[in-house]
Amino acid sequence: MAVIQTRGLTKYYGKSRGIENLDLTVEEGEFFGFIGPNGAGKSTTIRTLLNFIYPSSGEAAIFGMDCVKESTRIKAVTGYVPGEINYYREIRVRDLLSYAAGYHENIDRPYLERLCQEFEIEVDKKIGSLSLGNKKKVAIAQALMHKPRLLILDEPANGLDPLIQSRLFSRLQEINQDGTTVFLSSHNLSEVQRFCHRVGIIREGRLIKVDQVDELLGAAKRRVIVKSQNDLTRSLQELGIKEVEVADDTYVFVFEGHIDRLVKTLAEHSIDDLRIGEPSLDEQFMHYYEREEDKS
Amino acid sequence: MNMYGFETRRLLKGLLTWSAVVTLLLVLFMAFFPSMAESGLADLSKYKLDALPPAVLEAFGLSVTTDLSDLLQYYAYIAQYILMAAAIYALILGTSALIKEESEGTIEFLYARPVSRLEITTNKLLSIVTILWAFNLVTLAASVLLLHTFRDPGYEYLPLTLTMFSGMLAAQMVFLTVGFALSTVLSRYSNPVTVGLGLFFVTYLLGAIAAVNEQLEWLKYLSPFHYVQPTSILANEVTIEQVYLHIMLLTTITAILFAYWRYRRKDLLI
Repeated sequence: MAVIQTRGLTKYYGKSRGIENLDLTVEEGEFFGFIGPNGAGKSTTIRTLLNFIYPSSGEAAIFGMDCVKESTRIKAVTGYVPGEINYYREIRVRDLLSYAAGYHENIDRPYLERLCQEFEIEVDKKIGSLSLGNKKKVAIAQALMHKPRLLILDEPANGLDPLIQSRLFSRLQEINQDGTTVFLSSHNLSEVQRFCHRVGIIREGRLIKVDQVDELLGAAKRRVIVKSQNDLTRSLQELGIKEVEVADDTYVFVFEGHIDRLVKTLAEHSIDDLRIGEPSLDEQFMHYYEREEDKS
Repeated sequence: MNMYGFETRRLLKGLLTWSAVVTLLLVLFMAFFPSMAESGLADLSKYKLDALPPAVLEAFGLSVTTDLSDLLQYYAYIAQYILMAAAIYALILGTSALIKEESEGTIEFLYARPVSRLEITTNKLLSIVTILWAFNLVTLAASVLLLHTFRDPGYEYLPLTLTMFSGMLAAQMVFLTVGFALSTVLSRYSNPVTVGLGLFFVTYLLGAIAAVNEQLEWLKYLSPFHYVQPTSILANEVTIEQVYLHIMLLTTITAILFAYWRYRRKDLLI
């Protein structure tokens, strides 16, 4: 069953573009990554799905329920972690969480307590005194407390320290394995790469690609730095790499294609040092962008 | 109940502050009454007032017949300043109700809950009405207590005080709901307090102009403050004029309906 389904979803803010003609399907049990640069329309999509804003045209449904007409029912089974946390500053964390709990029936209190411990939430502090990371932890707890069937996260890792980040993602994987669909928006490729099954790439309001993570990465560009006493020029040519900078036995180039081919080719030589850079998001997007332009 | 309780609690601090300040003002003003009641001073003040042009007196809610040595007339004179404060408070409560959460971004929390826009509007409206009524109860109680303290034995003050208060409350409801309706259309960058203050003083000024200029008398319909001015209620010894009552009722209902209609389809932009 499709958990999220949009057809021709379009949102304009007056004349300026939010999203255009978005056709997106997320299946039940998926860990879906929604990726794109700032201002691409990630948050607009999420806010339309949650009916914070009304679509200009097109339609969206969550669990088959209309995002505009049945938003209240949708929110009863959906958890949401916003990108920027603007909770009531003067309220204590404990009070905010129990206020949030008041909107749901049968909240599992011990589970909520465990979440607070796991994410080291300082429940006696006022929201206003918390750092962004600590506010984010509160947002995570309120999104998970009612054991939602769909979890929507808007750049959740922003501001979290690495330890809490890894706890968040292992918790997300856990609830995903228990059947919760996770929709994660991010501009951090490695985070999406590690956890998501499928990825949708949005750019300038349009969904330009939806694919399995492996497929996307297989075709991704990587910046490679190899140090070797051997002459690699020929091998690199065979791999189809045209532009190589060579200086003091160091080869710097951009590799496009499946990483397996590169590794096996390099293995034929004696290598002193090898660095394969995370393809930067910009490079990634340029990659898809160019392809889009090729097509048109 | 959850949201209503939460919203009302958030407004308690403001209620306490406004109630304390207004009660203090009442006590301060009323403390001058015994000296005012001394006949010599009363004559003097009357003489001074007589020297002023009637238009100016009217603009200040006084008239040549105002006798500040009479407890209720003295109180009514003070009450118009209380009404001014109450009207401003009502406007601020109304204009802040929805837009403040949007400018601070806190509305995102509510929108992520399983509640409809309709429920949000209802709960917010109910909580500001509760707070405004509580504020009126406090000022009424303080007023009655003070009037009781300063009255001569046998002086009847309660019925007219209650009439003044119900009039004042009706005008405040107009300000509250008009502010509430505005709250659904204001840009999130606007400051609800400034808007509230501005709106009050504009309507007040229009009413004041109407009072001193016969050609512009129709402007009085634009100032709810002047519908229920305590001094005129007292002077006429009647309840509020029917036409004003109808205007206030109609405005209140229209403003509420508009707020519901507008907020139902509003985009949350944070």
